[in-house]
Amino acid sequence: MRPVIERMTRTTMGLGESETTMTYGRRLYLTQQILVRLAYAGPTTDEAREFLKASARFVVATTLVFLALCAIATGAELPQQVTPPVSSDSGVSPDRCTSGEFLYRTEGRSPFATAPSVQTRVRFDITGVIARAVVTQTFRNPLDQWIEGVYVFPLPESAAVDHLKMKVGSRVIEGQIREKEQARREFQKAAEEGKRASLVEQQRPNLFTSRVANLGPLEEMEVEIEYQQTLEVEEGRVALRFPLAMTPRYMPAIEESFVRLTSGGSRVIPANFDLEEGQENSADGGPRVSPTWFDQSLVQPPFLPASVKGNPVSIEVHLNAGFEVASLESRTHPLAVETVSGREYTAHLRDELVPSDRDFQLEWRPTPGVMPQSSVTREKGPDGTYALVSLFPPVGAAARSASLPREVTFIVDTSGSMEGVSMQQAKRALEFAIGRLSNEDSFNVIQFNSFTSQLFDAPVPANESNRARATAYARSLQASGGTEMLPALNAALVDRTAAATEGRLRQVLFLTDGAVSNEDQLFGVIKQRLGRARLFTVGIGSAPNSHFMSKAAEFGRGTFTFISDVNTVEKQMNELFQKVESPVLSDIRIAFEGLDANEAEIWPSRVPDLYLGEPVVVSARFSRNPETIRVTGQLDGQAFETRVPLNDAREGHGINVLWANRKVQSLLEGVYEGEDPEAIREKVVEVGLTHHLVTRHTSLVAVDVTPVRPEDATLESVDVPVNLPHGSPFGTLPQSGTPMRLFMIQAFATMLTAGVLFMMAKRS
Amino acid sequence: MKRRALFVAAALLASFGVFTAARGAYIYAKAELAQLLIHRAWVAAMATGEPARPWPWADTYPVGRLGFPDRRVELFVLEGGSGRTLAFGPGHVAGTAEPGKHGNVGIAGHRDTHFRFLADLRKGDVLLLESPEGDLIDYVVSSLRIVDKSDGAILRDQGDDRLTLVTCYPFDAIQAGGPQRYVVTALRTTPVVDRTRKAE
Repeated sequence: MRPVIERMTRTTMGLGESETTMTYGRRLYLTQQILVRLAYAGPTTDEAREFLKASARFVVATTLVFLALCAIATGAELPQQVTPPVSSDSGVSPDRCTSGEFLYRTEGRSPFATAPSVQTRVRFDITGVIARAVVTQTFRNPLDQWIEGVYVFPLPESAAVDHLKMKVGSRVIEGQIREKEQARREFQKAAEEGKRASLVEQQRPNLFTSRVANLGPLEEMEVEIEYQQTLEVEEGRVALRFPLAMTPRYMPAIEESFVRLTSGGSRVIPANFDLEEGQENSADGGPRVSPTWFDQSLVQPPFLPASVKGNPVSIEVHLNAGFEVASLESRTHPLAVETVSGREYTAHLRDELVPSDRDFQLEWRPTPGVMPQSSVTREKGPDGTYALVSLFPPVGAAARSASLPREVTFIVDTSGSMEGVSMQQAKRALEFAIGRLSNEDSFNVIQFNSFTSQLFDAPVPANESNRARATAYARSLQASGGTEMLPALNAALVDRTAAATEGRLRQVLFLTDGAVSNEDQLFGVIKQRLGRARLFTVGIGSAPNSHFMSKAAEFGRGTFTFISDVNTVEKQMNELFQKVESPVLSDIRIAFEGLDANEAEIWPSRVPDLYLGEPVVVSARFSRNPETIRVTGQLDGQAFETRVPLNDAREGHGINVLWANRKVQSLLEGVYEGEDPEAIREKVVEVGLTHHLVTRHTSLVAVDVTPVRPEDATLESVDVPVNLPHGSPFGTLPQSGTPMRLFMIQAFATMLTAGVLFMMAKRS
Repeated sequence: MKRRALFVAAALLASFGVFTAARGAYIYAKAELAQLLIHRAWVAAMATGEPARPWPWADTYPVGRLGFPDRRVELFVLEGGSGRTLAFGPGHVAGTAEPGKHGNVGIAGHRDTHFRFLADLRKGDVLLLESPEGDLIDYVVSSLRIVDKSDGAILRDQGDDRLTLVTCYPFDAIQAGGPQRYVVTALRTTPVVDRTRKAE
């Protein structure tokens, strides 16, 4: 074998070894000469001085020559600088340059000028804590051929999609709910037959795709999706959040031991999977450790270059708060608000259309004292009454009781996706949190990207010097690399000091944008290793993966805080700290008085622990109306009980969908309890079909009756590129420069100054 | 006294200059030296048919050899396009076709060390790529262009057999991390010997 290889080297590559190595050899020789002379320069100072002079001259000369070459080279290439695209709407290609020396893609149009665009209109109708949203996506085909478009878009994680309408011209086709595979087949069949069709699928709990088939040349098609959602309520405010951007997800490395079998034999898949380098975009990243049920290629859509903003959005809100509103504001987008009455408002974005690159958030607060302590909304369905119950436990005033000392572990995500504004927010939040610790507490800071490192080997007392050290550490953090979250979580959850810190509350504060794809695996770890710890997630950045973070907090029996704006870091961290310092309502049970256990079906079946200001929200179905709802629990070791009367319940719409969505979420979580996935799937399909609900296993599909595409025209499949989140530095092509030149120029400048000083010294 | 202070300042500055120059030289030395070690790993890999690590703690292995005979360029391509890999050699971007296989083979390299020669490439130049199986494939450069770093689409399968070389642009930028990439596309000319199919 060996001779063959050698021959190949010399002949086929067309170069002899000696010739290539010669230039390197020369450089090596020179370096060696310096080293050798340095070694022998020891004995006499004269020789040393001579040598130092000589080498200094040598270094200066080389650097000068090098710099001169640099200057010539840079100067010569200056006219070849690329003009970045300026306009967002004109669809200017990012690869347009002004120099004539380079070839542009002339054989076809730029991929971004020709990509179909989607314009989105969102209209919210809010009654109390329930929002009904109508999302209208207008697909535009800029090509002169028939296309199939795929658009990936996020929705709030609690969104229950139950309606699909396809509109072409004056025709409206209603979507039907089908089992996922069947829906795909129907869509595929229609696409092949030349009929117009659309398909809405759930790829992840907060990530959906809509596809349209047989969109004719230069045509438009509207896809209208409706969903129902319960809003986030905290004492003092109600918040509506609508995700408009996606943070590219990091697909973590396969464990080193994982071996992929290829036809050429086994091959170890390297563990260096780097986010920055854009490898997560690979369509085929090999097998994953955690089982994935989604279409990998769909979850990661093509992203538009950061300089191009596409896919505009308009938002309209009709709010019927149900109480007197003191303030209504959006921290993310400027709004135009009209007051209908003290309780009713309409609002829309001040800018008619905004690029979909940051999430929309709207908050309203009641005038003090008017927020109801409980509310019940119900709806009669064919198979019983559905009700949504929310209740604020009257514990607000009991804040910061004799609080126990705490052991707090901060985990900071310093992966590449955090770079930019996100990292600034995280640092501010961390600094603030460290400052809030008291001397009795102990703490540690863990950061992770591709690797995990911690500030202290074990939690240390939060005295002044340790806090100062941690603050300095926080300030020095920099974002780069991948998002290997698992080792960091493991490190934080391991309870090393169990015996010594019996009475302490173990709390883990996790600051991240949650840009991971192995959510299921991470949830499993949190569930198994949590022990007596509580996990609080803090969402950072303009588009954090809030599904991951709210679920992680749920499994971690803590809370999720979303920080959207760097200016609100302190305020929101303060609120979070009030929560973690106040007593917890745990072991919550809900009973419907006057009903047998089998007459009511309540979801979620287990209510998570409640922190200061959080409401109990459950949805239920019962065959006959109960008298009252009783809520019991443990508050700081004391029994707690309260009752909600049902006679002043409000009538609502789509309560059954909310109930079904809750049920599906709970069913799917059975996976972490070790239930059979196939059995879960069957149950989920049944719920989805009954309630017309898009789930992991059911989709909505709309198919037109008559074929429109001429038989001789082909159908092209085109992905709609989506925007990168605002302030994100993401790229998908590898980073490939080194600071070598910078070092060399710095070195030269320093040497030159040194030389001048030396001359001055000699003369003086 | 003043003179002495000046001497000390000059010496301090000079030593800092030497240190910085050494840092720059280290980047270059690492890039060149690693290729020698990788060469050995490549030979070993071809002899045994198993991927070999160039040094014991390496987290990558050579997957191909890239040649530009006109300029006597010979480079060993490593698996993975991360910063750690690229310091030692051009990296094969995971997810793109492997050298010797059908599809779009994506390779990224540092603009100031290994892939400096991309600046010299012209349309029609011939590039060679050797696969781990020992096949030698000819590619002819068909286009040279500058794209934004987010234009990941160029690394997708285009339905033909091609080689896509990516490096940072401009070549002489002082600081690393700019948004532009220089992309060389070369199309395959030699007929494909598909070993996977033969094996079946």
